[in-house]
This record gives sequence, C-alpha cells and structure tokens, in this order.
Amino acid sequence: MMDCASFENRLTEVLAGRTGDAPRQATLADLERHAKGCPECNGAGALVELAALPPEERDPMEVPPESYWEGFNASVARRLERAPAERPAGRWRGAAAAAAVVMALFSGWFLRGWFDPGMTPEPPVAAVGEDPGAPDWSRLDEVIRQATPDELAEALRGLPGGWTGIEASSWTLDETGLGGEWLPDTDELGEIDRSELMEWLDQMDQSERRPTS
Amino acid sequence: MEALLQERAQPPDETGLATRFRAGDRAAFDEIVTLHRRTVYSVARRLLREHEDADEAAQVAFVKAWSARARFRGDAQLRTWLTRIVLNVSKSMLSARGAEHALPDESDRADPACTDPGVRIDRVRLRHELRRAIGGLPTRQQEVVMLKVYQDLTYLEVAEILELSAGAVKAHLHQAVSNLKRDLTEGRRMEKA
Repeated sequence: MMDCASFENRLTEVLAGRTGDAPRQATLADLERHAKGCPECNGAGALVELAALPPEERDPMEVPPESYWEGFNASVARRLERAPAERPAGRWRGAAAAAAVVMALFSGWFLRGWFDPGMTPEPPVAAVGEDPGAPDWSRLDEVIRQATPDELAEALRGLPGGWTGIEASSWTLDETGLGGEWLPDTDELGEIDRSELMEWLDQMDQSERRPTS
Repeated sequence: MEALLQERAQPPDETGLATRFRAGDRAAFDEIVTLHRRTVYSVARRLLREHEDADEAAQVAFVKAWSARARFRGDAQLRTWLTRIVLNVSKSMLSARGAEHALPDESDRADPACTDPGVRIDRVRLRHELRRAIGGLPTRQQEVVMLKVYQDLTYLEVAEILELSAGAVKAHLHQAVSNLKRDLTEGRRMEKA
C-alpha cells in the first residue's frame, strides 16, 4: 500500500491530468484504496472522485444558449464604440497612478541607493515648511527615464493605499494587471512605457503635479 | 520540465491573427473574440457565479484586450493572455463587491452529462463538499485549482496566466491538494463525532 506522501503526489498528478506510466484507472483504484484505508487521507476520497471525472464534468456550468454567442461579438463591438467616451476618465486614473509611481520612486522607500548604490541616499529634497516627505518634482523626468520597468512595478507594490484617493486595492500588481479595473490604460504596469507615463503626467493639472514654491 | 512542455499538443498557430490584431485589424479582433469567447466567459463564470456578471466580465475583458493590443507579446498564446485579462477583471469585480473568491455554486442547476438521479445527487454532494473546502484555500491555490483542475489548462498556461513558473504552479497545486485532503478528512471526522 502506498504511503500518504505518495498518495498526495499521485493524487496531484491525476488531478492535473497526468498519471505517469501507470494506466489512469489503475492509479485511481490505488488512490481510492489508500483513501478508504487511511485515517489521515480518507477525506481525500472526494478528490479521488473528482479526479475520476473528465474535466468538463467536474463543475459543469449552465451553458448559455447559442443565441447568446451569436450576439456576443456585437455586444463587445458596441462597448468598443462607447470606449472613446469613457477614455478620459480612464486616462485620468492612469495619470493619477503614474503620479503615484513617481511619488513612490521619490519617496525613497524603493529607490534607496538606486541613484548611487555606493552611497547612503539623500532624503528627497524638500523646501523649508514643506512636508519633508514631499518629492522633488524637478527631478521627476530624470527618475522616470532611468527607472526600469521592474523598478516601476516594484514602486507600485510599495505604494500606500489611498494616496491619490484611489482605493487601496489598486495598488497591487494583481489588481492593476491587464484586467485591472482601476487602471485601464496602464495594463502590464511591469512593462509600463516611460513615454506613456510622461504623457499621462503631462495631462495632469500642473498645480497638482508641482508644488507651489 | 520536458514532460510539462510536452503535456499537451500545441494550440493552433495564431501568429498571423495575432499580428493583424496588434496592428489594429478589427476583423482579426472579431475572429479572436469568436475563437476565445467561451474560454473567457467560462473563467469569469467560475469566479463570478452568475451569468450576468460573467457576461459583463467577458465583454470588458475583450474591450481591455483591444485597448491593450499593442502590448500583446507574441511569445504568449492569445488564450492565456485573454484568460489573464478576464481573471483580473473578475477579481476586480469580486473585490469591488466584497465577495469571497470562490467557485460557483451552481451544481444543482447543470450536469448535462449525468442522467442517473442517484449519481447526480452524489455529484452534487461531492461538489458542495469540494467547493466549501476549495473556498478555504489561499487565493493563489484557489486560482491554480480553478485553472488547472477545472479549466484543464496546462501547467505552462497556468504559469503564464498567473505569472509564475511552471514549477511554482505545480507546487501550489500540490499544496492545495495537501490542504484539501487535511480539511476534508477533518470535516469527515467532525461529521462522525
């Protein structure tokens, strides 16, 4: 009889659709036998049952009627037609995100030592009376030009939620990935294009972008 | 790893279609929608449960894909790229409504392959039991189970969608199986007690 570790390994393989050299039915029978006889594994009988089913029967869904599919492409096309009208809001969110990226880069919690890895980095430059954590916007363009996509992505990961009023859930790469709800124009932030970032920033209100002196 | 790479026959070559799509060809996009709409919809449906939500997510995903077409990398399959988009759209929708990230609860409504009432009841029981246990897994493990076990994607496809290595996907699946085994066994003990 197989031991519990082998049971888990083989069960994982069968669920993944792989049974190695052994015929699938024989493997399933071995697994079922172990599950029934082992007090530590008997609950996994449900997983063996699941593995025995073809994938399409494991969790069947109601299939929409053919008429739904016939109209699906047209529905997508209609949404695309509406998309330009929605674009400014999306771009604004993109701009806010881009600004937040820059804020993150400047805030130092990501790029410590990045400009000069051999030295302890200077804190962000701030005028007297300003928030000491405020970025030096005059170096903004340089930062964007020099940051790699990975660094931009890493900066985003470290952003505090709510900094620009966008929900905290915006600030994880998972949320802001290709399908991110909040950043429709910044898909693949890990590969964000610097020129686009600049474009977004250019669209921002200058008074928000650069603190008044 | 070699075995993983050979796990499944390569999907049809969509290089030409992808090239036209990236160039902004709406006819190519329409073809892509037709080719992949069922996959995109089914991923959304598994996550969001309701048809109306899945419909919304699938449409939004295709619109986002069109908007992001210039960034589609040729080294990814369209199917995995689209799956990643709809997965993120669905997660955003779930997050927005504060719902649990879980598999759909619709086992009573559909099982076209099964006509025997006794078997059907057993399968409903099985799915309820599994759904509860899967709902208790960490999100990443839930995603791997959904994509690998229920959507029947290859390890490499799941890895591409979740931006993990194939080895990491395998490790997540193994960990998920281990957690499920423990949870299900514990559940049965409590039932008997």
